[in-house]
Amino acid sequence: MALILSIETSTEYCSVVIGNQGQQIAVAESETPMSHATELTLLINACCQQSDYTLDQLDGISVSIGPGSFTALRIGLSTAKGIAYALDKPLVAISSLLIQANRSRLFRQSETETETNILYIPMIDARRMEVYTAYFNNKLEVVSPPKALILEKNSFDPLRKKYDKVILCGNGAIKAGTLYTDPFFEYGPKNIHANAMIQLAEKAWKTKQFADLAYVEPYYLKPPNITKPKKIL
Amino acid sequence: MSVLILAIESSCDDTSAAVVRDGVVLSNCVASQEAHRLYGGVVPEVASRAHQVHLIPVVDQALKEAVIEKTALSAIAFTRGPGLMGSLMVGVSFAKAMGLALHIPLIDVNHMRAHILAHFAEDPKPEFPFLSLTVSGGHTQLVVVRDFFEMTIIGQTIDDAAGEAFDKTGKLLGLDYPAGPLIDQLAQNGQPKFPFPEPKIEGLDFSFSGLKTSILYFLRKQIKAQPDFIQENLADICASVQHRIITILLNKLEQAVAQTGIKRVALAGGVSANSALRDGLKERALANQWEAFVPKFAYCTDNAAMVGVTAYYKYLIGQFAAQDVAPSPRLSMTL
Repeated sequence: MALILSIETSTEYCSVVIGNQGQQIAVAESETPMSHATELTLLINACCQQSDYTLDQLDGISVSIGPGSFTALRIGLSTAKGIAYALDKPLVAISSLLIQANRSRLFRQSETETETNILYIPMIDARRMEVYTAYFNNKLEVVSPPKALILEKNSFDPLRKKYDKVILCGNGAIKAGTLYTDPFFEYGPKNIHANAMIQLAEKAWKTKQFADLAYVEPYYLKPPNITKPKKIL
Repeated sequence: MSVLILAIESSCDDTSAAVVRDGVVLSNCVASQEAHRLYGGVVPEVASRAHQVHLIPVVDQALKEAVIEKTALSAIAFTRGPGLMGSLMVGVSFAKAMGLALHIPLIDVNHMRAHILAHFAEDPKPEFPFLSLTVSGGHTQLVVVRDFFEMTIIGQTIDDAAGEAFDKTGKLLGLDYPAGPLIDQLAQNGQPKFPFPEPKIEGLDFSFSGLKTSILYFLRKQIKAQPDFIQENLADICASVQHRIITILLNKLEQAVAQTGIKRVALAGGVSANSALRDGLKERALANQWEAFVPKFAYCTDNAAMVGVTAYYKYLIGQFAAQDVAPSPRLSMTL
């Protein structure tokens, strides 16, 4: 039973919730894209005011660890670290892809119970036709680990034999819309939100799956893109 | 009640934290990033990633060395800019969150002002007004400092910074990054026998890009005639380049003194660690009867102590930042 602040900043909009025993008791989200740097701590403050709890009363902080926008992830994690370090609270790091899959699952809860042969495919936009993605079954177990994928017409054809349906969700699924139109594909929510972190955070907190506060890094999935000059003199 | 400030600096490739009590530095910890050596310069994405893992260990060490509990802090200070966006973002976000969690005010600090106000970390402190020659990898400025908060730039580089001239020369010579300290060291055994031109820039502004080009052409020409020219003459090349950069800086400083009538001069910024610049300033001070201030080595390169000292003076006049403050990579000197 825990009081947990969850911070989600993997895409252009950020959101914050406070969950108590797995139930949402406060929520705040940005209305301007890429305003994390100015807005995030204000949203956290707003959640505290809504819930009448102060940060020092929290049992833990949870943060969306990525993949996603590098800068946006850094803001979220640095902020989460600042609070956790200042108040000696444990930090839980949750995959943004798992959050997105869970959000999609929450949206279609009643159907999920009868469908076993479906796959959640959360996608986080990685520019051009590329997305960060992973595959989850309907129990949210990882079927295929996170990877960067350039979307092509036949990218998901191998899945047709094994599954009845795949659910594409997340902001990367927006550009998938023109490629995958037949009934094998269903579309889930395109935006990610901290409200899908509450149960995941509660579960991680209960099983003490805490991150190493000092050394945890965003899950970038990609190394820095560096080109070395060839000619010097 | 004493004022206890935790200061965080993450504007470029060094992560630093310091604890300052009533303007006196209790601790000043710096984690440098070695990774950039491979690339011959600071790679912003690599720097941003490294800050994320260095920050808490450095902050923790600064608090431990100062023997200060987090709950005893009066304010959190941080470098708001100028600097690299991704790097600043890590320090600023962390500082804001700590301030929010501990219910204490935030103080945003201008990195370039902090370099100058580093002189107030220890005695002797310069009296106002004084002239600062601020020289680093990103800046070359002549600043009239009338007060802690009243600073006017009267001259600056129109292209490369002086520190950049050192680093780029180092690259041409095949030296590791950062090349400044290596050139300084190598130059000790050399003579400034190769003449490089002094740029003719009007007024108090600087230019170093022409010098860089003339070094490049000079080396190309010499290597054509003698392939191992660099290896054979490394110390002399370093001494010549260093001599030229430093005379450019000191000649402009002398001009600035003449123009303003201010004979109290101070060095600031990373390049002020250069021994020839430090000695050169002392010589000119002696010859011209200036009062000269040269910072301690620890306060030359990027450090959080200078941020904490600057923040202390802002604390005294109640200049705090709100929670919506964001990094400002191109923060101007007037703010």
